Amino acid sequence: MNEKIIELRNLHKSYEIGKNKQLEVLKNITLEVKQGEVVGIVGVSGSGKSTLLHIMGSLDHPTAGQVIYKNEDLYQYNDEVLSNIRNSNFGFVFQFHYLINELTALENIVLPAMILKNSPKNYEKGRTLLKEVGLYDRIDHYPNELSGGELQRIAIARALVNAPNIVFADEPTGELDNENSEKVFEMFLDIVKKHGTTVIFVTHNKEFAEKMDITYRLHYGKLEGI
Amino acid sequence: MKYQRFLANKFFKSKKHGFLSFVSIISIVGIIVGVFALIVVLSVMNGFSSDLQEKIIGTRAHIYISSMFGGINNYEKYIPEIQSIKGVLGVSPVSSSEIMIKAGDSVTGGILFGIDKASFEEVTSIEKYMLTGGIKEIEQDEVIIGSELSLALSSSIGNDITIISPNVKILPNGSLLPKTIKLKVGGIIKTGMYEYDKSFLYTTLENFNYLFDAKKSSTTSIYVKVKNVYKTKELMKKIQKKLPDNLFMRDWIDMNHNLFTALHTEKFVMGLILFVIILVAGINIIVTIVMLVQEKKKEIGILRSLGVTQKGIRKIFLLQGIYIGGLGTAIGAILGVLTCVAIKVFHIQIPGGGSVYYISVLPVQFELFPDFVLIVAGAMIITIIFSLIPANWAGKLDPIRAIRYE
Repeated sequence: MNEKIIELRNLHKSYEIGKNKQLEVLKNITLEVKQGEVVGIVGVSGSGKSTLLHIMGSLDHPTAGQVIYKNEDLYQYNDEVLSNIRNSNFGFVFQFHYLINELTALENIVLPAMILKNSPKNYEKGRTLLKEVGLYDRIDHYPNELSGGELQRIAIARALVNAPNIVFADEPTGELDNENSEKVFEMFLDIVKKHGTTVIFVTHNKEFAEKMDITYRLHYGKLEGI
Repeated sequence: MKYQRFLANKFFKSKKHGFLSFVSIISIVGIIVGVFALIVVLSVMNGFSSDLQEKIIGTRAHIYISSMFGGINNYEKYIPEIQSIKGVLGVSPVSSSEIMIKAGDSVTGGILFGIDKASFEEVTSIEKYMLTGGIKEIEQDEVIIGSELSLALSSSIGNDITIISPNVKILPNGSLLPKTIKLKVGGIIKTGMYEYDKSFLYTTLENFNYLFDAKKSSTTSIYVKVKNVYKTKELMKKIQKKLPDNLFMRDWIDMNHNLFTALHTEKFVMGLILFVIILVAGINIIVTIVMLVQEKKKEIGILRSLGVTQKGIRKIFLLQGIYIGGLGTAIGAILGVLTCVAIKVFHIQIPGGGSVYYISVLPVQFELFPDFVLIVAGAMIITIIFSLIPANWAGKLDPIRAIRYE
């Protein structure tokens, strides 16, 4: 039986939208994710999927409740510790590639490793990942010289460079056409399964959702199993 | 290379955003102008002050001994005693007084120095300013005059001039008869100090004493030259012990106190005004980095999601400011030093020359410490302080807002 890696306990998130008015996006969410699981989260636009993902990934603070990672509440930590956890334990792939335009494909992939530790081995790791995502011939290309699918594959490689325990994917194929979308998704699944990485995958694509180990629907701020 | 420096380098060199580069260039130019102007102006002011000091020390004594009651009689007896004091390089009797000079139809005022040509050279460096003739070669019937005075009187070597003493005789009919002496111009001196060159005349002590009806062994002052011009006060105490109470002393610092204080104050105020340029350039750096942060909001969000701490973000943008300030300071400093060298090498003439200013050539004296070090350190400190403000703001940006609103 795989160990529990991340857990949400009675998570709430609300935003102030005016004087004394609150918009409650997440309502009392409880979730357990085990090591190596690929978890899908579906829901309509604006249902709070991205917010949930950001809170799980320590990018956003919950209004109430806890995010337990490796038996510790993530939000007890200060920025320094939280950033270190984010760097070495988590990986992110967003809907938009969010690569840094001033860096080449290899430099973009290597960047999280440089943040963790400055070592010549970082570039070796980067090259290996570039081969895995099939873009080794684009090693010195800048983001503006790559196609949408290629950019997202670089973003996936970047998310995996520090061998994270969890990858948070926020509709990573949402900006791609159907053909590219499927290719990138299949490649992503192959790689994360090969690396044994836990994945929290936000999508509204039903076909993709069916390929997850377990899928939840976020509906009116509540998480329901499918 | 640490990631902060790696990213700061990449962002700084980015050629994609021409607008930002333009703003960065404006900031860099601001710093260049400030640092350059400070170095050049302060060096010229140093040069001016040093040149003035050198000329004052070179043509006048380091220590002046005078009497409270007119002249010093039997000065010869004091000279060996003063000379025996350690640190004293030379002692010479020098009389001086205001006189009138007449040459042809030209009449003007001046200051006549009566010197002992054998020892005068020991107390001043006047010989190096001689255009023609020399102190030692001066004959009994000769006078050395300043170059400007020579022009004013249209008198050059060999011409006669009449020196009129304010020492007058009252004739039986009640009219006043001033004592005069006719001397030949035996040398022309040019110190570069307009006031000196316009009014100074040098003749023998004997001629001076004749003109003022003074005793043969009397003088109005004794000039003392010392080894260390900044230790005159200590020597004055030692000299005073060897002199009677009616003789008193002043050194070159006392005699020119107001002048050097004014120069020092002027330099300070000028430095302060020019430093404002660097301050303005520093404010430009704030604007530049604020714009950079605004433009790199998305990247800040990405970096935070990749695990960069608030401190890390702050450092990246602080480095941007340091690059701008460092580049501006380095270019400004190099240009400033090169300009100082050029001023020194090419002997730039001051428009109007000696008739308007004390000096005819733009002087310059580059001082590594404190001026240069303070300017460079000041510019860099301002840069760092002004960069910290927007860098701090960048560090505090919410990563989610930064990504979501792009």
